[in-house]
Amino acid sequence: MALPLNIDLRQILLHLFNFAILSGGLYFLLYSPVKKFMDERERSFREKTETADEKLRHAEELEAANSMEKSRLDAESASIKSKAEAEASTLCGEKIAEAEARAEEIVAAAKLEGEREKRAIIDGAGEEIERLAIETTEKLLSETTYDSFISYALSEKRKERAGAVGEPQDGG
Amino acid sequence: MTDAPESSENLSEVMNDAILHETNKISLFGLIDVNPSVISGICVTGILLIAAALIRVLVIPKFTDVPGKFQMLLEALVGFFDGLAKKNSPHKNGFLGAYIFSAGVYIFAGTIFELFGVQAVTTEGVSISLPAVLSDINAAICLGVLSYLIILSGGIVANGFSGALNVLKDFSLMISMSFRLFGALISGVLVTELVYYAIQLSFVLPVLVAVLFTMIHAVVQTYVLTMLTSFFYGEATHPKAPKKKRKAKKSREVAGT
Repeated sequence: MALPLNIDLRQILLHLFNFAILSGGLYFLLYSPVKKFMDERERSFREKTETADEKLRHAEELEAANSMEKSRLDAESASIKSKAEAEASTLCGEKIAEAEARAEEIVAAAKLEGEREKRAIIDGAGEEIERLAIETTEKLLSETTYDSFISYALSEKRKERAGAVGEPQDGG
Repeated sequence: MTDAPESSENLSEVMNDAILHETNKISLFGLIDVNPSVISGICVTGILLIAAALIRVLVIPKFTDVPGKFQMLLEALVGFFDGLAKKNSPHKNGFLGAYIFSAGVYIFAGTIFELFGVQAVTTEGVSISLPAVLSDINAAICLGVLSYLIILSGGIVANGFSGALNVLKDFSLMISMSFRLFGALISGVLVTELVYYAIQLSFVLPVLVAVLFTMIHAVVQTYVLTMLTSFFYGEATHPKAPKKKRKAKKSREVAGT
């Protein structure tokens, strides 16, 4: 059957057959391998991205956990520090109080000792004074001294007299 | 403008032969006489398959994650048609991508083939330059009908009988796609023939016109056919909304009014 415009069914089928062969060949030789490679690469990149995201998320979780642990440890250390400071303050107060008490005891003991020594010194001094007075008195009252005193007084008297003789109307 | 040589065909015969290919036939392996575009199609298929086989054996095994220039070209080619299929037919696009890739490469290479001026001998013993594949209406009808059948099969696979009916109501699509391809290609051929015929003594314009028209047609017709096919395929494979939901929506609308 003759169709207008030189349309020929056999040639249409020939074109169809030709195109079918071309389509099959291009699909298996070019389209499928290239697409498979592209899909594989995309899948690989997606997996790498997901892995990287997972690692990033894990790192962020670790960072958050570390941050929490750090803040917990900071709080704990601050608590320990404040507790230690309080204990040190208490201990220090106790030590200071103990030292003050000990110092007071020492001062009191020193005062007592001082009083005792003072009293002893005073007591000793009275005896010494007494002894010295006795000795002085004894010395004063001893003959030698008295004699020398007398001699000295007599010699002085003689000197006075001699002076009075040499001079007119000397009284010696 | 210069006059045509006296020994050559007149313009009417040139136009008639360019469109209808009634005079110049070529014997296909001595079996039947066919239009020259059939031979063009076979040549293009052979060249493309050899090139694809060489690429498959020599290039594709050496593909790397960081592509070179040729790998990038191949990936861009495949990615373009695959993306076109996915964009226009998001629900079912595996087969569509492969089809529009083949059709696109065939149309582009089949149109560019004209530029090489491969010679063939007609049954009358005249040497002619093999034309573009789609300058023959039979090739255009083949691609138009095949695209329509692909769309129809997609509709049937996706939506069953209703999908088939939905595609069948666009029966004119088959004719429009065929004649759009043929008309676009033949218009370029006619303009080129006119230029060749009228100013054949010129040595710059025919070259520019032939190359530009051929390149533009190759690109535009490749894009148009693949885009239209993928668009209608996507429309045919779009899943229908469940009837219950539509009924419920309608009842809600009635209740609201």
